[in-house]
Amino acid sequence: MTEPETTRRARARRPRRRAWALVLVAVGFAAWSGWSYLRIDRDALDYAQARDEALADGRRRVMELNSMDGGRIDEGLRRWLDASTGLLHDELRRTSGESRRRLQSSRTSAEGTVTDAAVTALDTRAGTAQIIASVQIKVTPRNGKPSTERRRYEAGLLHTSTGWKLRSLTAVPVRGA
Amino acid sequence: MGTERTTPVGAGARTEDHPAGTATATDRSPEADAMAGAAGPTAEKAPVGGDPNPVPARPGRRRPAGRLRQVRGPLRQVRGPLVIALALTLLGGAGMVRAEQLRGSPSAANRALVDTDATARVGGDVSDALTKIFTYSHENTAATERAARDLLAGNAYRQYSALFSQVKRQAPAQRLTVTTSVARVGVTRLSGGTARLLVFMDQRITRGGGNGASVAAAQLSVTARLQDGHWRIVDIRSS
Repeated sequence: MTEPETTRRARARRPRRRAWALVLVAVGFAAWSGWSYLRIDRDALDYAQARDEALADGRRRVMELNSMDGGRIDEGLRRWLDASTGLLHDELRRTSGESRRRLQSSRTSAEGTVTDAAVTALDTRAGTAQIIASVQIKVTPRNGKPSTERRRYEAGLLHTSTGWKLRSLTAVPVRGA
Repeated sequence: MGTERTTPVGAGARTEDHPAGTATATDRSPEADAMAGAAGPTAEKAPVGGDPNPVPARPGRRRPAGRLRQVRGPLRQVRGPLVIALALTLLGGAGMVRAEQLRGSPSAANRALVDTDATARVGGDVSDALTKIFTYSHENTAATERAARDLLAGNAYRQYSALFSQVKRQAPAQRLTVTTSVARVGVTRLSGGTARLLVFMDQRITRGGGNGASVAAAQLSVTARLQDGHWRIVDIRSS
């Protein structure tokens, strides 16, 4: 009497056991998934995103500061001011009158293209970055043929409420002479 | 039928759905405890819930709770665990998808600057390599060629070989000496064993044995690949 009864009980418990075994497997899966999610280095991810933003903004700003439409000088100067911040911004504002006179007399247009650029330093806490950029500039005088110049820059960036802006822009000099 | 007398209506209906002997293993109620006493020795193979003869042998052991549980079907008895399992699976799946989204983004895959050691290493290796292969003297072009075999691979090696064969022809007559140094280096991309860099170089060029050197700037976009623990340049483009 006890033997078949035990067998029956075991049999009857089987679906439940299987269901709980399934729960166990699901717990394992969820735990593994959660662990792999938590294992993601959020700081590294944020840092990588900031690096890419700094590079994208920096490239655009360097391009803007190397471009000028001889027919729309005021607009160009405004763009220069908008692309810059800090000391560079102050300097551009201070010299904007002189720049306007010079550009108005020459009516030269310039079209800058960043051919390659790289972030060389990034401090997300301070909101500062440094990039290097290789720039090709097509210079078109008012009455003349366009010529192409190559320049290489090192630029300091500062993070502002409207993205990364240039706070310094210097040509990297050639040494070794 | 005696079933009508001793079991509630629901259980009676079930008996019709699953007549004894045709029910599958999963149909067998796990609530054997409640029914064990009632089943009797003749009901050995019959599914417990569909027992056609549930005359209680020991009525004292049948608790009201047991009778209530009897009402539920087998599916209802595993429904709780199944719901939990499903919820956990969905949760796990969502977590996995989100993790993959974060990890798989182009930003995350690029370790440039994020991995400071690796960034410094590739920058250093590539700078050293460029300095070596673009520094040569008309007196010793063979040493530079040997270095290039070590430091360059693929397309970069082919380009360099073509360029350097010209240099070798002209260098002795011009008494050409070129000294290259790296002014700036930036890593634009670093993922796995491949890196992209922007390098600013300075070159000091001397012709005719020293009187009057000229300097030149060169900007190169370089692709490098990690091979046997050190970075080899596989592509060089002027930028």
